[in-house]
Amino acid sequence: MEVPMTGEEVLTCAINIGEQLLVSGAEISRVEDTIRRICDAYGIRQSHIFSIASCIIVTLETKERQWITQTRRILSYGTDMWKLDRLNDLSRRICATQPSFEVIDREYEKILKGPTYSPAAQCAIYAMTAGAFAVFFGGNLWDGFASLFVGALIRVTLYAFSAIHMKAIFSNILCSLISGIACILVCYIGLGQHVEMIMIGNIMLLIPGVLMTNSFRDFISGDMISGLLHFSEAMITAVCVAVGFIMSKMLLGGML
Amino acid sequence: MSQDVMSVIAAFFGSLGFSIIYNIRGQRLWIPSIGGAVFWAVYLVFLHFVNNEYLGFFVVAILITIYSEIWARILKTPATTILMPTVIPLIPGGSLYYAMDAALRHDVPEFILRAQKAIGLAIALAAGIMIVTSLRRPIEALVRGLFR
Repeated sequence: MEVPMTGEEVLTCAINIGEQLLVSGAEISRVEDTIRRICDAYGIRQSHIFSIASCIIVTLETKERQWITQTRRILSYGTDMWKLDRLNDLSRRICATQPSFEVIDREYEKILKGPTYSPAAQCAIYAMTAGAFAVFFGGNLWDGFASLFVGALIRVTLYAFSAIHMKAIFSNILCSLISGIACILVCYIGLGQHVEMIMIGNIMLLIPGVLMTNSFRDFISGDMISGLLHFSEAMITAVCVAVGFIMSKMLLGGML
Repeated sequence: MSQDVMSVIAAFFGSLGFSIIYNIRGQRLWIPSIGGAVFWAVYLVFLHFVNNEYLGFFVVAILITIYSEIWARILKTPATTILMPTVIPLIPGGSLYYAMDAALRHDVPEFILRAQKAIGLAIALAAGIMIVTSLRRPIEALVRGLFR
């Protein structure tokens, strides 16, 4: 009943799962560990895995003493905890039961097409989160209410920028600029009262918290290159956000 | 006092919002949301007795990481999935904003003060998370050794 997997198939499965883990926001050590475990489960003689934040390279020596290599280039990554959880579960099952290639591939495709929240829901959630943080950092309920609109606007802007494939740095600055202007405007028309609380609430949406935390986790597990890559990306993003908001205050600061 | 209560409620919705942004689904949404609110309340109580924000962030970061590691064991999921949204209310976005604002006003002493605070709080947070993460395996091995 067991269909033995060829070395090539093991490698493809392992590196695909590793790639998707990395794209969904896993730490490097988890990516490398998962690939190694899957290879070990199928009796691969040797596996050499190197992964940094933007690339995975895996070289195996198969049972037939052949050497094979595959590489994945990672261009962009986000945070998708549902995918992370499912992929983790899949790799556990692979290690426990060694299913055939078709079974793994079917499961993998199912995870790839996994559920996400609809654009409308995402706008609502961004609005709610921005509102919550405006109140959290000391604003009153009016500030929270005003913040809702800016939060939704941020999501819409991000959708628009990703649709026209804008580069990350520029899109961060521009998005912060637009939301900064929106913060000042909602206060100008009298909806919110404390522009700083509304701005902080919306800055929280744009700050790269996961990247930052992941970079520290990479450092702990000894992945210095990835730690540095993640850390510098987080820092640059934070500076971009700051620059965007500063520009909005310079442009419209006189209105308040 | 009422501002404190408001901020705990807001922390709940903030963590809930980020859980959804990070695509956590179903019943699991409750774990980081309640965690975010409870640990923010713990931080405020801690601050009431020990008047040190950095120490407060450090201690609460340790508690949050333990909380997420425990849930990760129960749900058989990576600890990251719980940790990230739970820790969100502690991200020092406020200090970052005030530092930026001071820089814009050419208020150098204020900028240094605020920037120092933002960086200090981030380091306290990271240190708390790092301690638990790096002690996890040794402690697991110890516990397994004791109860075998």
